[in-house]
Amino acid sequence: MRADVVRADAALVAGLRRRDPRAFDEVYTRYQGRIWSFLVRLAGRRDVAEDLVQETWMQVARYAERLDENTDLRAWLFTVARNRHRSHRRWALLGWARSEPMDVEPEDPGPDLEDTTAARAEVALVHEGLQAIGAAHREVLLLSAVEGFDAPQVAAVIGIREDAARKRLSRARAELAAWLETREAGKRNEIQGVRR
Amino acid sequence: MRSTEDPILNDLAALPEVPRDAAAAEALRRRARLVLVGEASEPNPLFVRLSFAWSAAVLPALLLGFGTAYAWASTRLLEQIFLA
Repeated sequence: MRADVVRADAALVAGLRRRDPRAFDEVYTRYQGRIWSFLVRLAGRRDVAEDLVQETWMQVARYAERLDENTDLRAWLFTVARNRHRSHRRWALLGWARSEPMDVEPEDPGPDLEDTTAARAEVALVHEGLQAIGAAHREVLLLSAVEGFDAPQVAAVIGIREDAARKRLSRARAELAAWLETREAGKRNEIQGVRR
Repeated sequence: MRSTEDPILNDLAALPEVPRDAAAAEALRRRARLVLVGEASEPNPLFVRLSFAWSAAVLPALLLGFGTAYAWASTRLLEQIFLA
């Protein structure tokens, strides 16, 4: 991350510790889009992501004054968001999640990349692959490849050791690559079937 | 951990930001801002879920348990009165 961004984030942390609403507004403006995108892709559903993003920012507001002055703001925000999603999954397993209908509704395809003219087909396919792999692998890929966190930051956000984070990223990439390969093979077979 | 050589990681890095309803985002900012300055309190999600668990599972289980115990005790009492 650039030094000026780190300095700006440090100033924002100081503002949040003072419960300065202007600092909060700046944090929100700077990171709400990234946090939203992260949660939509992690949860795979916009309705669930909407609940989680609300819980995330409420928690940020509630605990802002308890922040340590050396807090890595961006990593902390993603840690809160990731923990909200983890908690949601735990409650969903027990059947006690607030978004009960999510288990019976059809899958939300998430962000409609086809509508974005600039989105390349490969990127859209990778997005689809992200939804197909396991949640633990999805979160590590989102944090490192999409959000640009380095290994120590990913480890801190997920709460594991740095070497474990690297291994998990490697396994996640392999799972996604295998999915993409299977998908490509399926498409090739489909095209050959049509030609015959 | 971004890579310039790995096509898969590059495609992931190229994923665009997911668009969000601006009105919903602004409403959330205002609510969170009020919580920050202490003008509003937001129920803790844990309490919300525990409350839901209480009304959806614990309380019905207790009522069912006591109801069953009551029915069983009544049956036993009727047995003692009429069959003894």
